[in-house]
Amino acid sequence: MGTQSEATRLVDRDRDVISRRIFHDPDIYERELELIFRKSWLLVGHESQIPNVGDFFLSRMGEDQVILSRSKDGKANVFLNTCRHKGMRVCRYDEGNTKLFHCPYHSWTYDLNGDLRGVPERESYPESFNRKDWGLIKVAKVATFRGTVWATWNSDAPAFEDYLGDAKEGLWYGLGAWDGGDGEVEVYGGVQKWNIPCNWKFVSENSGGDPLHNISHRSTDLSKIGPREGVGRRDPFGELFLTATGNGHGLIFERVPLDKPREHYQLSRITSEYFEDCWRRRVARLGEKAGSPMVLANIFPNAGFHTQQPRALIMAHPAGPRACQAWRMFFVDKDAPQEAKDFLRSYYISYSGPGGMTEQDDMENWNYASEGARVRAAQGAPFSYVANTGSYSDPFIPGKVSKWWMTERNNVAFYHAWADRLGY
Amino acid sequence: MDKTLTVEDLLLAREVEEFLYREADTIDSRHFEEWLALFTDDIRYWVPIRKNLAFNQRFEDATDEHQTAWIDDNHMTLTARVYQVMTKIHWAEEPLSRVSHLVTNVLIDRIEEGERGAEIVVKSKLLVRRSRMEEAGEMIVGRREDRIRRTGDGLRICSRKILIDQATLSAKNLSFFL
Repeated sequence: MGTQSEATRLVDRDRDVISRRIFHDPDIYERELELIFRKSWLLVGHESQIPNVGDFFLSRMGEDQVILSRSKDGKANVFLNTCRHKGMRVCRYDEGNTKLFHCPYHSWTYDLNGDLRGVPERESYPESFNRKDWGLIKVAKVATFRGTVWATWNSDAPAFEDYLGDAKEGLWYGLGAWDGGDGEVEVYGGVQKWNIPCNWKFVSENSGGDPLHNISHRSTDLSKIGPREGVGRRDPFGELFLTATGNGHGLIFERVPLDKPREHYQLSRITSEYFEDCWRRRVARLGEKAGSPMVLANIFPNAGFHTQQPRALIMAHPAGPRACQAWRMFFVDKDAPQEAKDFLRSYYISYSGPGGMTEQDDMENWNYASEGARVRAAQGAPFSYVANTGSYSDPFIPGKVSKWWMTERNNVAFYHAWADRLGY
Repeated sequence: MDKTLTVEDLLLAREVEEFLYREADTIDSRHFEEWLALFTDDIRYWVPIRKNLAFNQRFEDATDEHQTAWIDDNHMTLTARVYQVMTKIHWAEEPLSRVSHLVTNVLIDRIEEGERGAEIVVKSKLLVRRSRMEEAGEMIVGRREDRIRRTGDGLRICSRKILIDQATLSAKNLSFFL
C-alpha cells in the first residue's frame, strides 16, 4: 500500500474514478480508523444535551464509545467509556446526571473530568499506585462551535475553527437561530440510532455533495410530505450551489430572493409566522448575505448537517467496512414557540431517519451500493465521480463554487482528502 | 383482574381481537388503502424511541410527545406513506418487503370517554418480521397501546403507540408499516 500504482487504482485524480475496494476492504477500513478517525476532529454531541453540571451523554468516536460530560468548572469533557482497571463500561446509561461514574466490575470510581477518585481496598495497592495515572482515557482536544461539541485524539490537530476553514461561516449560521443572530438552537430529546448495512462513506457523500441522487426521492416528492400544501418534500427552494472549501469538507448553499416573503411552513400558522418574522430580521441583519444560507454539509470525515429542511446533526459511525451506526439528532430554535417546535419535529421525522419517507430510500441505496462495491468480478471497474459543471467565485459563498448543482466536485474533494490522510 | 368478566366483556374482547387480527392480515396481504381506512382521520400513529436509563427512570424510558420519535404520523403523513408505496418508485419498498405481523396478548385495558365518543384502550404485543430481496430480514418486537372507537363503519383505530424493545434499531429503515 501507499505506492503510486495503488494510489492510481484507489482514487484516480486524473480520471475522477474511485476503486470499489475502498468501500469494503478490511485493511483499508483499519487504516481509516487509525489515520482518519484517530486524527480528525469528530462531532460528539451538542451542548444542549448536557446543559447542567453533572449531565452526561454517551456518544461515539469511530467505533469507540465516549462519555460527553459537563464538569463542575462548566466545561464539556470527552473520555472513553472503558475502565482503566479491566475495561468494563463505567457508564451504562445513554444520558443522565451524576457526580461520579462507578465501574460495576470492581468499583473504580471516576469524576466528571474522567479522573480516578477512588478504588476499594486502597491499602492493598502498592505505594507507587498513583490515582493520577489511572484516569479514564481523555481525548487530546475538545472544542465547541455554535453549540456543537467536537473532539479529537490528535494532539497535533489544528484548532477546530482553523480545521473548518472557509466552512466556518456557513456552518455558524446553519447551526444558529433562523433570524441569523446570536440566538441558539437546542437538540430535541432522544437520538435516532440504527444500524445500516453500508460503508460509512456513502453517508458522508450524501450529506456533503451528492445532489445527483435527488432523482431517487421522486416518490417522496410525489407524496407531498412538505410543510406547505401541495409541495414535494420541502418548501420551494432557490438555486443550489456546491462548494468544497478544503480539508475534505463539502457544503451546499441555496440562493433565494430577499424581496419576497418565503411562505414556508404554511401548514402551521404559528410556525409560518415565526419563520417569516425570523426571515425579516435575518434580512435586516445580514443584508444580501441573508439570501445565501448553507443548507447541507459534511465536515470531514463523517459529521453531516442538514441546516434548513429538516435541521439535523448526522453521524455515521463506522462499524466495520460493511456497516455503520447512523445517528440523527434534530434541532430547533430555542426561542421558537412550542407549537412550532412540535410541528417541525413531526415534519423532520417524517422526512429523516429510518422512519423518514425521504431517507428510507437513501438507506436502500447505500445498502445495495455497498453490496455492489464488493462484487468480485467488478473490482476492476471503478465508481464514477466525473460530473463537473465548472466553477466560479461567488461574493457570498466561499471557495470554488459550482454554477450548476449537479456536480460531483464536493465528493471528489472528499476523496482527495481521504487519500491524503491515508497516504495513498 | 379483580372483577368477574361478563358475557358482554368477552364479546367485546373477541370483537377487538378479531379487528386487530384483521388489520394485521390486511397490511400483511398488502391491501394498503384498505388498511389506511381502518384509522380515523384524527389518528396519531406514534413510535417513540426507547433509551437505556437508570432503574429509577424505568417507567419513563421512552421519548415524550415533544421529543424525537421513530415515527409520529397524523392522518396526512400516514396517507402519504401509503401513497408513496403505491408510486411504485419508493425504492425501499420496491419490490415490496414481505411482512408478517404477529399480534398477541390482546388486553382490553379500559374504556374512556373521549371527545369523539368512547375509546377502547387496548394493549397488545407485536412481533413484526420483514424480509426483502434474498435477505433473512429483520425482526421487531414491541408492545402497543391502541385506542379504538366505534364508528358507523365499524371499529376504527384513533391512536396507536408502539414501544419497540430496542434502543438502537437493528433495521436499516422502517419503510414497512409497523
